[in-house]
Amino acid sequence: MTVSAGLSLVRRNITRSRRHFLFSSVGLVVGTATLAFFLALSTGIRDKVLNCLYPVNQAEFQVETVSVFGLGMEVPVRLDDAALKALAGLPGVRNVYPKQRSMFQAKLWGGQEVIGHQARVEAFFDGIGPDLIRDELRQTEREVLGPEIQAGDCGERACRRPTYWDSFRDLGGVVACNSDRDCPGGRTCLHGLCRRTCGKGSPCAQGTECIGAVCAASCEGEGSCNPGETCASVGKSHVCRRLACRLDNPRVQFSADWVALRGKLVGGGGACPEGTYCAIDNILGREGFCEAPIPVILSPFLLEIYNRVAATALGLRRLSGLEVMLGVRSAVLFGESYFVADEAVDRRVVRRSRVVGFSPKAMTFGVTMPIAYVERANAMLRGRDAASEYTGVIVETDRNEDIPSLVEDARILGLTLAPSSEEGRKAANVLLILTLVFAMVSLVILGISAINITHTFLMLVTERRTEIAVYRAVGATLLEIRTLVLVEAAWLGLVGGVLGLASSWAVSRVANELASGVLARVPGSPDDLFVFSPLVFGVGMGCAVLFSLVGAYVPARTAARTDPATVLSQG
Amino acid sequence: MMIRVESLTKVYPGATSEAPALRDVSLDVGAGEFVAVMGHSGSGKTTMLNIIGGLDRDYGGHVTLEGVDLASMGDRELSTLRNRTIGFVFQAFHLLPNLTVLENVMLPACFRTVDQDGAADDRARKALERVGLQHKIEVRPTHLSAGERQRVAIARAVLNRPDLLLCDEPTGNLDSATGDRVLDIFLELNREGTTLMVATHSERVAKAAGRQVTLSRGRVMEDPP
Repeated sequence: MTVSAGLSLVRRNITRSRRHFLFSSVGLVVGTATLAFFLALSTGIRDKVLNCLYPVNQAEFQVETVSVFGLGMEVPVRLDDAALKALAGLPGVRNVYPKQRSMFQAKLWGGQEVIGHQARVEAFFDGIGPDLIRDELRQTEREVLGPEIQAGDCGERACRRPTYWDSFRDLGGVVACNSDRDCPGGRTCLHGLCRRTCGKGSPCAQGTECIGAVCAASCEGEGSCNPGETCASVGKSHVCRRLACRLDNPRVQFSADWVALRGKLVGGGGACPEGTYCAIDNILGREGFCEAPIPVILSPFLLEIYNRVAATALGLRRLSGLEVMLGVRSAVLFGESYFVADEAVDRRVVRRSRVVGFSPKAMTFGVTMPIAYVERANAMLRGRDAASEYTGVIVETDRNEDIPSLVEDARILGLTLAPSSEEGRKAANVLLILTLVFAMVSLVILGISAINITHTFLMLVTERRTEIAVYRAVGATLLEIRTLVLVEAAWLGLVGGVLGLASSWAVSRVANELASGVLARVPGSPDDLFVFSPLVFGVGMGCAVLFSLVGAYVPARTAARTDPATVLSQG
Repeated sequence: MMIRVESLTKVYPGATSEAPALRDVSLDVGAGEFVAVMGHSGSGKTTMLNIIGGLDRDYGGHVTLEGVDLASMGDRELSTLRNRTIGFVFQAFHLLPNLTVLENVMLPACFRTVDQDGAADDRARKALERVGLQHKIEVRPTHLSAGERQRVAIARAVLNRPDLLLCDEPTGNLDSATGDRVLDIFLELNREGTTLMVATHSERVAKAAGRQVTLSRGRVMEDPP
């Protein structure tokens, strides 16, 4: 049978029996709509809520406090570079990203330009690996600020907007050191700066050169160094050197006057370069080096909580969106606290920070910065040991399925899932169970519709016995008779699937509208709870067609078994 | 030999073996013959035509068509045979009411994959012209008279130019004038070389046929040389 002839026969049969097909398709439409609705909802919750809070392929571990010999003695396991190396060697692990929290006191102030008042708070810091988060920062920035290069007739340079995400890295800002103990492991305190030492058997990392037993970043020109540095010739090499500067008065460090903060370069030549300031070794000093502000990221929840709680309670200006915080600078005073004793005066330093992005991975009640800054600050204020131990580690795996076995392996190393990841796993399991339950309900509806289709098709096949017998008499094979019935069923499934998916989408819009009032009061909640991904459409259509075919299978066999001799002889 | 039937026996399920529909029937039909199969109702005429036409495969004995044993053929081969070599005309016409006259006639072409575009349509129109119904191609069968419906059925049967036409009481539902017209078409087809086997009670059809075979209670009672 030719395809066109077959389709023509199918079309005629469907048109002739459209009322029967309409009733048969009701179950398919309802089943498909239910299935797609719950799949889209669970996909939406997984992608827009769970994955933001607990990303797939990632799990955060922390040190497990273990019991020794069942005597109730608890010995903490140390999460240091050796433990990271062991963790990185486990099967399925792609990358490990250590996290370190601040172990010192600090105050933070600023934000007058966005909230109308100078905010002064006790500051807590969290350090994470920039590589873990930079893509996410870029994506978020595109969402709130638009593409980095605007389309149009203007040249690329004129259309390019400032970018922030690319600043989230170690820009070389340094908390001054007095001895090696003030520096993280592997670094030496040299001329007040923590530097990675090198020599025979301990080479420098890529992009750095060993100059006088210290690793220095190699450069090719002024633009290739960090802000506040210059590319200087040392022998045959070119390495980045920090620009020395001085302030007129130590009090200037506490000023919000950025012009004054840039100070004067030692040896003349103006102030620190645009975007940098003169960072002094302690609050009493006047001399230091040009530095870029510490790049920090904030949690979107922090901003929502500010808007909903602090702004309302204190009558402060509400923030219209995340974008208003991008680029905002604050001052951080390391070594002072509103609650506990301050560090010695010569160990307190003022640094500037700048907001360069937002991420749910950032500390909810604090500020997150590249881990190198936290390591250096911890080393300076709490000693080298404090900087060599991590508070947690995010492990990225090749596949999400690797995580359960990784959890078991990590336990042997004395690590356990962090509460957030454990909650994520539990939430994911609950979501999976709910999805399966609703999928089962949908499949039951589809199963009932398949039975309905069986009845309808059996009736139609009985009605068309003579027609089928004629087909056989003029040359139709058994397979062609079966195929004709099944193609009708597939067509019914396609139509039912399309109508079901359309209904599902329409109901999801209504559900979203109804839920929006509640969701608006929940920090971090998405605008749309549903994700109609190609997979949802595929599964919806596939199930509709599959169940329709299953329902028509027996009638198709019955049709093929029609005895033409008997039917045609009956007249 | 066009058709060779040897020791053909048919017992319907549920019937006793003492009363088979056909018992030990042997028959040869040459190419181009016009054979009238006579007999009372229940004598086995329709059963024999169904078996020869490959519609009924549950029988004993041997039936060969153009030298090929039907029992040795699979469903696909037998379906192809019915499509290309055999045409059926039934007493009740068996036209599909949801199709037009032209579409009914073209039905066998739906199951034939060798046609070029438009070839089946041309053949269908010529077949309808031959039976005098070229002016009714867009009409539904329900709007035709009995004689017209049978002529449409004949046009459908000859669409693929079969070598063998099997007709079961083709004039049974027609008045004598209309029956004569149908008979004229059969004679014309037979003159062109089509082999015809017509199960009939009609004496006129029997006389027009070159050979009469009479069945009685499943046996060949009369088959004059």
